[in-house]
Amino acid sequence: MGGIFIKMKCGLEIHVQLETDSKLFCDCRTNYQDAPANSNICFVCLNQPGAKPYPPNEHAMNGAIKIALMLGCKIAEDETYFLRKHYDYPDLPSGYQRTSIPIGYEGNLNDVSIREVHIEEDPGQYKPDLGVVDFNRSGIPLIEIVTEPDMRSPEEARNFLRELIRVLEYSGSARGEGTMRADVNISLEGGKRAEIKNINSIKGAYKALKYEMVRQKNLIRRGVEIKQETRAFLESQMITVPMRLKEEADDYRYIPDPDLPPMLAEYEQIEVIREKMPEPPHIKTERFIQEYGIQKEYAKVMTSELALADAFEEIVKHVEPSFAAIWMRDELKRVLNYNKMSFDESGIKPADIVELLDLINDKKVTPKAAKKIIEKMPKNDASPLKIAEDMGLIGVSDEESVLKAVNQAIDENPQAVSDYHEGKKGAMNFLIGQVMRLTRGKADPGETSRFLKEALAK
Amino acid sequence: MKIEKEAEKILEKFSKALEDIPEFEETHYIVDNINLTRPDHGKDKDTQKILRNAEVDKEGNVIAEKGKWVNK
Repeated sequence: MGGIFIKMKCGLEIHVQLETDSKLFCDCRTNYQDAPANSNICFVCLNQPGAKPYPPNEHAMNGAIKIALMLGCKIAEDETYFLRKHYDYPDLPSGYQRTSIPIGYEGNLNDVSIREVHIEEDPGQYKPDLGVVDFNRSGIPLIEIVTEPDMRSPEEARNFLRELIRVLEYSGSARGEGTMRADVNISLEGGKRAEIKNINSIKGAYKALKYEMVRQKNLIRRGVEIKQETRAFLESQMITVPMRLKEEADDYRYIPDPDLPPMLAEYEQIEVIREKMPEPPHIKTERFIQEYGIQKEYAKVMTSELALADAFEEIVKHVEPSFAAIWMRDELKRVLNYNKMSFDESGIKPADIVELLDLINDKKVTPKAAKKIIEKMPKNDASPLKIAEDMGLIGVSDEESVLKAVNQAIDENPQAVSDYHEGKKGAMNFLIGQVMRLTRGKADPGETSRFLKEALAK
Repeated sequence: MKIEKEAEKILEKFSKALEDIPEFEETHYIVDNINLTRPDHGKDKDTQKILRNAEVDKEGNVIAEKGKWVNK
């Protein structure tokens, strides 16, 4: 089938909960995932008749400003206020959601323009398949980040979301991908914009966009008009289904909430937040490349987690940066991924990494032995030296011992020797492995390879 | 007719009364507060009273209608 190239435009509206102890407009707790259903609720967050909102949560408001700044946004200079956004849904007892006008605007992250950042309250958790609602989530502060339709493929949208979640994690003011809900706007050349709701993960956003792109392309090819509509993403089936015709802003009947006072971000307040906020990861990545001379792929891994980036900066005060970066990217991350933990959770301290790398540099252990040591480091109070001693990995074999092991490996593996002479590359690696086994990993791999080549040439 | 005349009189009087009112800047708020926030402290809640009339399932979820699009 001949392919028709149809351009795609995609914009995102991403909601992530802010990290607070209490809700945005009342003092109910926000630990809804640990609490029994409908236990963190009150007359305010359920908007019962006569209940008025408390003043906004200060921590949430400052968190929103911090995230806006980290996304390179300008902060609104005029008064901002909360609007009532009306819609009828079982998760919203009041019939309206309180949402602020933009707190930040005109930001940028990885060449995707951020149209605005604002704060709003989360609705309850409605399970449409069961027809039940848990209102514990109702009123938890959310940050909403709206992008321009700058993404041209599902892959670009996925990369942007990964980067955004990294910024939010760095901020310390937002909960992670687990609380993310994204609405995705997608339009193909020649069609109208469809909005997909109910997306709860980066993978889900990618799959929904892929599905919707194929669905719309097929309709356009058949000459069917794309309707402007809101669709729901069914994660279990990885498809989108029509929800309702898309509302325009007028349908929401926005009105300012007269129960809440306006807000004005003061210059001093913004500067205090700016001073305390962490360097955003995308800026830190560029700095690591410039300042430490490491490659981009390494810099991206080093900045994938704030604690890891901080550790790297501490480690390179004592160790050559590219040497540290190689070990941290290849070996430390391998061990962390295998154990499914972050650097912060591993309990590994920068001093432990410095000690391990010093053991290698001082030829007290071989790189192969160091790989075994680092595997034992997570959640372990023992130092790398102590681990090495306990595992009998201290020491690098002297030349005589390595030569002895080389000869033994050749004698015991005639087939591998024959394969080597026939030009099979794997044979050399096998023989090196045998020497490592015989020396308990204490032989230097470079030296072993040289000795083996010399012995096999005889 | 009588009602119409009375309505005109009311409107006239109302217009006159408005003439004496000085111009104000438009505001949506009844209180002159700005940047009023509260500290972030959560409290445990007793939900017995608020859930008194709610129909709930055995997990404590409030019963609502099922989504119409789910089984499509």
